[in-house]
Amino acid sequence: MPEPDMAPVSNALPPPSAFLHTPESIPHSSSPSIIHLKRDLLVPLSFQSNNAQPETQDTRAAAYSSKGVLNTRFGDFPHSSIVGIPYGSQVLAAPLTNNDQNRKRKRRADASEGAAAEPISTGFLHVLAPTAELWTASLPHRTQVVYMPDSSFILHKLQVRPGSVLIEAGAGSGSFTHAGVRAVYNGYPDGRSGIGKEGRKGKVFSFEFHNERVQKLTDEIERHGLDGLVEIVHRDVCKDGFLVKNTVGEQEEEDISPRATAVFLDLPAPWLALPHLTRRTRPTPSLPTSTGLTPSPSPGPTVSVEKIREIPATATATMPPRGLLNPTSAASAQVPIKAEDGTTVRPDNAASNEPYDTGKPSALSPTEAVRICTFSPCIEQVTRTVSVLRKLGWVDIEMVEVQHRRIEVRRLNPKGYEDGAGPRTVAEAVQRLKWVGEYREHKRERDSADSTTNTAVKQSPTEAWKSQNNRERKSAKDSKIVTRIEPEIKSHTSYLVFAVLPREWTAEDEAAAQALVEQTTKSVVNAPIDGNLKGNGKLKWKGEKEEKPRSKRQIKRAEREKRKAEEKGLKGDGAMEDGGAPLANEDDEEGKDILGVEGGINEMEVSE
Amino acid sequence: MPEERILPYTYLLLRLPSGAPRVVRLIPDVTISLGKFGSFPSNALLYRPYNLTFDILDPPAAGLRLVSAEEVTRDILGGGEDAEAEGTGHYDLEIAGDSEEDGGEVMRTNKETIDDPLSQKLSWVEIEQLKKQGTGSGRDLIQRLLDSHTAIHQKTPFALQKYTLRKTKKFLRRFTALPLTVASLITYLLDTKEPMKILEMRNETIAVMLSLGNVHYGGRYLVIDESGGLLVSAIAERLGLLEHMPTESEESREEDAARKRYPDTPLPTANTITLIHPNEQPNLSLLKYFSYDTNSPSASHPLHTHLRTLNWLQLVDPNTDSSLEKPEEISAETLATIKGGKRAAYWRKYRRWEKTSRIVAEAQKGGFDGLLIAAFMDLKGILRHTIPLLKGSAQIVAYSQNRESVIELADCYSATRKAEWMNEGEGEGVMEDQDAVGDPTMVLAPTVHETRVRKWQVLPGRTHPVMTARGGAEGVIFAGTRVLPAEGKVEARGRFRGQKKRKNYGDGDSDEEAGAGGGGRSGIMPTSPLKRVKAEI
Repeated sequence: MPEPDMAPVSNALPPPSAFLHTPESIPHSSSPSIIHLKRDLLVPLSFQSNNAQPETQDTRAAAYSSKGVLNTRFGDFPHSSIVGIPYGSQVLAAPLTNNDQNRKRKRRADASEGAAAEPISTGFLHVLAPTAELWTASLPHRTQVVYMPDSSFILHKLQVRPGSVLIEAGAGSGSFTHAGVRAVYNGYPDGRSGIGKEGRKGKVFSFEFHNERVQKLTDEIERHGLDGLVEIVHRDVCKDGFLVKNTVGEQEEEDISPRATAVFLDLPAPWLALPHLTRRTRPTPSLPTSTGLTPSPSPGPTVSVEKIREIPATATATMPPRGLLNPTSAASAQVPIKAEDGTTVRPDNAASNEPYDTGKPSALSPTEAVRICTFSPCIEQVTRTVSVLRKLGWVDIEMVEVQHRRIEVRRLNPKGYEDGAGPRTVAEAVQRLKWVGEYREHKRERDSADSTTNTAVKQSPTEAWKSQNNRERKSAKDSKIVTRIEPEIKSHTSYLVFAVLPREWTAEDEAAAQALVEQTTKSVVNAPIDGNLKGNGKLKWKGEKEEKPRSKRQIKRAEREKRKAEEKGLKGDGAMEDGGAPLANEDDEEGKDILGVEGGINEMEVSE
Repeated sequence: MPEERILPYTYLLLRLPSGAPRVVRLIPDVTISLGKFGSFPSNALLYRPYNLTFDILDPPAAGLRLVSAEEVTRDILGGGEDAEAEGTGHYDLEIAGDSEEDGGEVMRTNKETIDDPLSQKLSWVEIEQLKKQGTGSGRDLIQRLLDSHTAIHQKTPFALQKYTLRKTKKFLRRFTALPLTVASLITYLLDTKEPMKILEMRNETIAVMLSLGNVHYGGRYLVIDESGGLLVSAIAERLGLLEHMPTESEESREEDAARKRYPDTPLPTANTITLIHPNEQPNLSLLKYFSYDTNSPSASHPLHTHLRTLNWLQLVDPNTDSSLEKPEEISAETLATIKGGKRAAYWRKYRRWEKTSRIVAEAQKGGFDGLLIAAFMDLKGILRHTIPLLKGSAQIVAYSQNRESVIELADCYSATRKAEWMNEGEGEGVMEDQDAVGDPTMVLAPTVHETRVRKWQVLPGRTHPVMTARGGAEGVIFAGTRVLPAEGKVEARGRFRGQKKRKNYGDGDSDEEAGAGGGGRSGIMPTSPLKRVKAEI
């Protein structure tokens, strides 16, 4: 039970991340604020201190900012006007200063479109608190990122909750890392946020084998105040697995297990990393070749087993074009997959299979079910991953793709003839066609009468038509709302493969559980099924009192009676009842209750 | 280290071979019956881990047999692992010869297969009898069915596999014990219960809402939930508020005494959910699956202190709500003289008032980190009353199963409407309209999201999207950000006028677009279109 415990935060600790605790006002810090210039134009910007050059994550943002002033095409915004105000504020541009840049801009603007430079001084922007989504939208993309529709579903399906331990392999630009840390967060290990409960602290272990990306990501995580919640490891997981190094004393020492409860693999060849994600250090034996359900001899084609084995783990050849895996790692990673494919090959290869060193612990949490998701764009990657998952004992294998669209909402206010466009309705078209005829007539008449009579005898049909057609346009509220899909949709991001690895359940575990059951229950093995409930298709439980339908009134009455009975018992205790009975009291009560229950069971056992 | 075990009195989801989910509450010492699939003692599941698959033992014996993952997988594949190993290709394809002309492949087809109901030699009566006396948790029966099918040799391997799988689904007495989480609850409710009650929210919808709403541990969230508590449970799961050891059994609800005292415990100020509900009492019936009963909440459940509820009357017009009237104060001396029962009643009443008024005051003070809505009600009115309660930069997420209402809402925050509102000035007309959203400039970048997950079947050589999926409501999600408009509104308005004079329509690359951010395209009308048309003509 999370109890926010407002412990005074020690001065030595940095403030918690703005991603997780929105500060009251925009601080001087390395953590970015998101500058919302316009829809889909977001710039991350951090305000280091009064004088220092603000740190930006990319050149694009750097271009906006110089000498403590944020220069945009919507005006100039001195950082002093942004720092200290609450997040979400609209900031108006400072009046145009006569500095070099503005002069230049003005000249340029004057040349092109006259007075266009003038309103710059009255533009505005919004400063938003960073979130995983805003960060992704404003992120300097180093790789293809996992967008919100995918990441949200992945985290939901992986059951990532406060206190979970998430392994992410293929950290890339860190987009999923931010979403992941938000989901696992339940307080800093050093307690700097002042909230959190006892027990395991949520953490993200993020693996990436690209050195430059690791550097950037490490830097980013630190600036965002997420250190301690995210651990970035420079590693090729396909080759070296998921154990993290723990520094003991002076030199680096011993591999420890992250004890992950959820795994997300955004790798080109996830099946190569899977052998490192087993309960035992040695993978479970592959499936037997025959089923338990053998039909009577069928003349169907039998796929030759030899043929199957011959398919080599050509990891480098079948690699998707994302090219994250370097050739050396793929070559060395061929060893485990070969062992996967050929069932008979394993015994010979086992000795040389370095990754299955029996001395190493499993990277997974030993007492919980582990959920995995792999993110692959190609169907071939999926079939291969699923095949390996099945062999390694994963169950509940599911594959989905997420289709997400953003809908644009507009007002339909069609232009008519008066705007130089076509007709709005059939009636208008008919009207115009009539006019065309009339006009022709009129013109002929006029032409013939030109020399002799006055032209203004008859009203021009054009005038009549114009006045007819001059309908008053309605306000925006009265026009029709229409929708369309965003101009470019992500019609395919990747296939998501989900699977669950149940916790290992050995004969000893089973015996222990059985013993616990015998201790805590009456050990009823075969309670008679309630005959009344039989056959209605619903669940039938013997002894389930709650199932009896009771009306609200009945429940209330029962409660009232109960309360009355208790009040009689508690007579005279009224003084104790009032005035801030603390939690401790409740706990005591509960303790008694539980004791009572246990006592009852003991009695029962004795009587039996 | 947390340990995942099936604890007594928890709800869990049993998935049968047919895929049908069953929700059961694990009460010790009872027999759980799964209809035609048989029954087993609940004690056989107790303290075992989740996600395991069990066979139900045959009648004389009572109990479960743990099925290994290999066996489960084998039965799901239905004998296709040979092709699985091959990786590619349909295994109805047969290598016929070396000739290159025909590609060397021949498709085995069902050309020769004749549909004949008599090909199954077992009669209905025989099958029923076998089911009764069957052994091997239904496996023997399936084997018999296969053996006595006369046309089995005509089947292609693919067809044979399908036949085997179909019979397996029907007769195998097996289930998988899954934890009842928000994700599995949604599948259960959508599949079997009335999906209307949860506004037909799918897992992906909830997931997107939680992400866009920036829901995370430590935040304070304002929630409008008309889905029976599904949205509240989903948020609570993300806040870690559903982790509860259901130690208290049915019988030990005797915490009434403890319950009476709860208002006095200090209420947490972070990591909370504040629910606004339309009726006097909130409808949070789905929380029962997470061991939280709103009628008689157990004090040890995290939701007990972290979930606050108030109704719309208490938020909008608290002065007229009788439950917020302070009970008459009775001095300590007089209190000592009255009867115990009456005294307790007085304190109960007093504390209820204290709690309610505290919750209401807290809600009205605002400063929430996010707003999440899943409602039948008109969204505009909800936002009108709740947006001012949000912190700057708080995220707003609203779901409706009718996309029209979401789209209408998005339109209220469009650039055009914002411009109109600023021109008309605050307060007049717009604010009086109870159905309107109020000040549209308080919401930045309104977006409408539609998301759907497409499921695929991944079987060796037979990978394709599933053939049917759930239809029904295609709900969409509104998302926006609460912003604090600058004080200098007059100035901003001035700018719009300047623009109007300056530029022709269609020159949309301007500040206005930047700020308004709505679905605006270039032709934003800075003034009332009516006036503009007049000026033009």
